[in-house]
Amino acid sequence: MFIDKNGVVRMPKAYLAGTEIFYPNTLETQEKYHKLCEKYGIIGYYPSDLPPEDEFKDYEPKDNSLHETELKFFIHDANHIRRSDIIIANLNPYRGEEPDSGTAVECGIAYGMGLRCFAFVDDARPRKERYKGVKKTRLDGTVTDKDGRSIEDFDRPLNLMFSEFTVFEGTMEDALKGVREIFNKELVAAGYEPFAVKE
Amino acid sequence: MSEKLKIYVAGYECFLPNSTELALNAKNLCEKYGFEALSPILENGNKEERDISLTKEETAKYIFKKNIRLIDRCDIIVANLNNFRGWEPDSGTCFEIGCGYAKGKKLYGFIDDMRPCYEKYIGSIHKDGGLWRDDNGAFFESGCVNLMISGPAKIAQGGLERALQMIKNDLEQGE
Repeated sequence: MFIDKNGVVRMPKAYLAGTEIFYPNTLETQEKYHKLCEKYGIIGYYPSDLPPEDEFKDYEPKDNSLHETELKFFIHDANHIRRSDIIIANLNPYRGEEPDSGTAVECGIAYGMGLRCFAFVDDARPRKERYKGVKKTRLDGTVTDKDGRSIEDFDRPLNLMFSEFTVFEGTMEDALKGVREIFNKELVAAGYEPFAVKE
Repeated sequence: MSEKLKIYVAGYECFLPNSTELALNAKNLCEKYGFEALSPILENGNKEERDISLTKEETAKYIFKKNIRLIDRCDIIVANLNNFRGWEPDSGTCFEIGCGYAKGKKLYGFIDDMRPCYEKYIGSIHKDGGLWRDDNGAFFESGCVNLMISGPAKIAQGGLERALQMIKNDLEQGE
């Protein structure tokens, strides 16, 4: 349960963005995440979850080209985001220092569509401290990588475009627990019963 | 005289030591093609101009909100999709693309290397279940970037100018 933007108390829908789908154990993760969401009183949409039947009523692929296939998957994910109230994104570094670009795009879509934004990372220290490479300092005090490119210094773990994200340190479960705590505080403040997490 | 279309110029250039120079070059290029550039770099000025009464986090939020307002105002987003500190584009740029999509903006990008991700990757890869995977088992996309970008965005091979040429061409074709 949560209180939505219109003041209605109902089950929150969460889009679970991240790289988990790329790995061979994606089916296990999908099941695990669904069970975790249920435990915390949230309806979770894993990227490969099947859409409701009317998914592509507004979109007809032109052909079997790579681009049309990509666009179909893109629309599938964007629609999951569209039907969700919140996004919970795995923004851990992926193949380098940056999070997965697909997840980052989904975060932007979610923010742009007015979803409440949450994320989780293993290490939630400020970006400067999280950076694993060689660091240098410019004369004006700016910390940079070995190629002289600045590293953000805003006391936030991620790029400043994720400023409206509440970032939890830990796993998806830690994020769900955190989101549930926030929703329960809001429910109680408005005079409703909090959701009881099944242990 | 009709109003010029506005282009939000997204990319990791903001992290480079010559970011202002690059932003001015981008602005001039946009104007050369008849567009108005909306540049987060030029909008947010120098570090020295920042309001020191704000905390670091508040400063980040302030810059973020300014960038979102620029995205609101633009008609088109053009994004530098080259890899940044690894095998992914800059996450801020990716966020801006997503936000632009949600707000109904036209999306374009540019990249030096248009080969599929698995061809560009320098590291060991293997085929499994029809997909190329890295040593951690994660599969690679078939496009030159993640499909969440190559799905909705048109991508030019080369620099910003190539993307601007593509946009101008599309507008002339009535797209």
